[in-house]
Amino acid sequence: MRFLVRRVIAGIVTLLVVTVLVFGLSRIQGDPRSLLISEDASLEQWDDLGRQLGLDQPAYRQYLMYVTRLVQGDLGESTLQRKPVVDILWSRIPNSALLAGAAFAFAILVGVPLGVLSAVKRGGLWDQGIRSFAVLGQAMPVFWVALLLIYIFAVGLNWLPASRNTGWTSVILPAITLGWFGASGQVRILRSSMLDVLDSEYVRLARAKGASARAVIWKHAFRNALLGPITFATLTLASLVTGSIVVETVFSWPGLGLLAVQAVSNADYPILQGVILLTTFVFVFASLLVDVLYLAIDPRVRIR
Amino acid sequence: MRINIRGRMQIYATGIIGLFVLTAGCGGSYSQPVAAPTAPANTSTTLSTTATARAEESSSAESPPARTTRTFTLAASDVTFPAMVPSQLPVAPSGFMRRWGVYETAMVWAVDRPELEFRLITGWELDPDGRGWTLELKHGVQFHGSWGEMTADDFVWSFEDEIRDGSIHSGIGLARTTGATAEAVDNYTVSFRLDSPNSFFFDAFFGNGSGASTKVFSKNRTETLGVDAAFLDLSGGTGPFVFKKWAQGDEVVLEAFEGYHGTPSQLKTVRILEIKEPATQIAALKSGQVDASLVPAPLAEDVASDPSLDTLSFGVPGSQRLYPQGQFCMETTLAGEPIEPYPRPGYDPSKPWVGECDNPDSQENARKVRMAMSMAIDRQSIVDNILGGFGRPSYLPEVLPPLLDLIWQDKWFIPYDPDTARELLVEAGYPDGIDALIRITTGSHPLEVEMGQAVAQFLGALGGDVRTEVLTYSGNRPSVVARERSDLWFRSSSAGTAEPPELTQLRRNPENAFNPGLEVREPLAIIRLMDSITSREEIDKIRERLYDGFNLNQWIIPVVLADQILGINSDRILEWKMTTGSGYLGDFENIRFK
Repeated sequence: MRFLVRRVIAGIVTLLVVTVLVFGLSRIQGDPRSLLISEDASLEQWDDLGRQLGLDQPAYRQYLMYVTRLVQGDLGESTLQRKPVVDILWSRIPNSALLAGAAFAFAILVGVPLGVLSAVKRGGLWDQGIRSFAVLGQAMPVFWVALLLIYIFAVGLNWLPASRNTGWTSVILPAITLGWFGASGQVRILRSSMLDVLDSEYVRLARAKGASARAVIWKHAFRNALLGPITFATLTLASLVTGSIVVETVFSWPGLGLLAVQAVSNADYPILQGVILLTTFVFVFASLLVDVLYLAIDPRVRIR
Repeated sequence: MRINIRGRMQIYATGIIGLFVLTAGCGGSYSQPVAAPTAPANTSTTLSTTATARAEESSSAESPPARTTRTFTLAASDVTFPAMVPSQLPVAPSGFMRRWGVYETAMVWAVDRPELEFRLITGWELDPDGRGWTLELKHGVQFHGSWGEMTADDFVWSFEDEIRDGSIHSGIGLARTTGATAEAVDNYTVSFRLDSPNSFFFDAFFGNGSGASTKVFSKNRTETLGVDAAFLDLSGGTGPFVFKKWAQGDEVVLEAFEGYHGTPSQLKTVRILEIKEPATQIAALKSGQVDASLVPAPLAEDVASDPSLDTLSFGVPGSQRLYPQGQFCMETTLAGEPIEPYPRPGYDPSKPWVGECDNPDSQENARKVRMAMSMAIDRQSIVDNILGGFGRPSYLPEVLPPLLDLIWQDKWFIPYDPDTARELLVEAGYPDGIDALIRITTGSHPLEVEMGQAVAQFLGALGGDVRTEVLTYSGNRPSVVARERSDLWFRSSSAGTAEPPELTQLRRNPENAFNPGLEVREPLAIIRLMDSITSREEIDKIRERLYDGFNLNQWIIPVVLADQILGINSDRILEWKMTTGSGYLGDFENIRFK
């Protein structure tokens, strides 16, 4: 329990530090009035708008105002859209969740079987092919993979839409693009874990006792090799939710990643702060989830 | 097939604006045959002999053509939300909405001839003293969203809303310095009066070529909903399209307005999709997901080689320029009022391109430096190698009015001559070249950074240390507003107004806070002259004098006029002409489908 409490406190501190960083960094981007006001504005009008937006206050006071509102569940109002940031985030979360879910499904459904197969067929053609798949997935730049898939499946074959969320078919290409990296990582970690376990004495004992190959692989080896892959999968899910900026931009997928890009280019600080804070929260939560899973899966953690 | 419209209809029309408004504003010394209307809503006025214009036919479409179900889909890299701009700040987005056919102005420029077509009015008359106009409003113009018929009250309210205290509307400086007032004479007649004749007011407020254009909104709607709600509400225009959906950063959907007072739209639906990545835009175009998309020059050949696609290029009224900032020598405004603070923070005569205000020798040396910088830039090379031929060198800081052949005179040609440039630097006291920082701001043209870096290389070839810094326009702007900069600034600057932007900036000081360092004294006197001109001969003389001044002094260093390139699905689209305006894609009525 103390372990969990410590992790929760660490998470809160992390969030606070992030609010300071986000607040400071976002101010470096420029003054939002530049976008709101015309070239013909007078200095007086410039100042008036600053007062309306609270930009005339000292930075620390702006920060305190910001954190106070955060605690109250108020992420502020978009300087450009004049809408609550919470509403804007909520409008994008379903798209990001859909994309992350599809990409995660791809990563697990492809990565886990291939990881196991690669370990079982170590050194063979299957193993080499799967390892190539994993290396490619981790080495190729995401934007290049995205464009490659677009030009093959949208332009060349005309099977799938090139961009945007236009229906269930439109999630396929961005999900593969986003999920390939995760699938590759899953393959490599699972293969490595499986190899360790397959060489262990208890697996050899199981084989010696005449257990079937299927039972040895899935009952004895796979379950004991899961600790690393589960950790990786959880953090992968968090990164899929939060780290899809490039994929969402290339595919014009209206999720949180694209929203962050738009917020930066528009110097819309409240939205930027909201996105980063949300993604930080997701990561902190995912880390806590991993800790809980550790407790559940690995008795050694409970003992420590 | 590749359609490459080099005719620059847009710029030509812009040029005509200048000629026209000067005519309209100076007492009506031109002939004024009324052009035959091409459509019920498209009655027009050309350069005129008398100071009146009337539509021969002004009624609404009596037998509208059958509704189509055609949908047009456009990819854009940025879809700006109209409501992002609060009502107190009626700036560019309302221009987009006008271009997209949602809001309308009194008149609009025709696409293929230098004529203003009537849109919300059926005629106008210049007052005998040349200090005002009377507009006759069209009957039966309905606002979107069942807000009723447009009346003179709406027109006056829309104008007054733009120029009220606190507004930063583009035309406020012009309106204030001319003392413009509007009055509803009756339900369908509006009278505008100025303190003195003005050359620019007519097109600036009644045409559609500038950000100052008066877009007419429903007074009743705003008063009923409240100011903020009225601008978040997407109804209230009079144009052929109504907003159906606006998903910020995602898409805009427009639908034909069934109650439109003019010729009904040929399109039932227009979808504008935000696709940020250029390569994805092209993929969407190639795969048929969209009908048209802007194309960066490096990808133009790829698009043009596709048998199902064409490329169009259209000139945007504006240019890429190098601003030698820090030239703050004006102590008074046009009206003679002192400018505060003076001297400006960015006034730094230690910079080679900034002369000491009251020291003729220093001024001359700074002029030579600016001329040397201008001569060091190989404009044609930028056009050929960066813009892929989609553009042309620019030698004067405004694009108005090329149709007069005035702006393209040989005497204003700036040769690419680095040897002479070095000699000028030696004469100015900089034998080793000049050190400079060029700030390149982004946001207006996809190749701004490449063009700006090329300029830096050309200047660096003179021997100095020339560095670049890339930042967003919004990031740079506050320091420009505060007049803190004295370095070089490379940016895309739009025009499209009757009045060149630089002169507009001068006119509005100090009300117009934005100024990149063009507070110099000489053009001010020319503006004073321009405001009081009374004949065509004087117009040309004064313009020529103005251009002589810009050419000799290089207060601003023009670099290129960069075209926008549009990729279209040639299986569907035959032609798309852009009218004068912001340069943003729009004017969907001008698309010709197969």
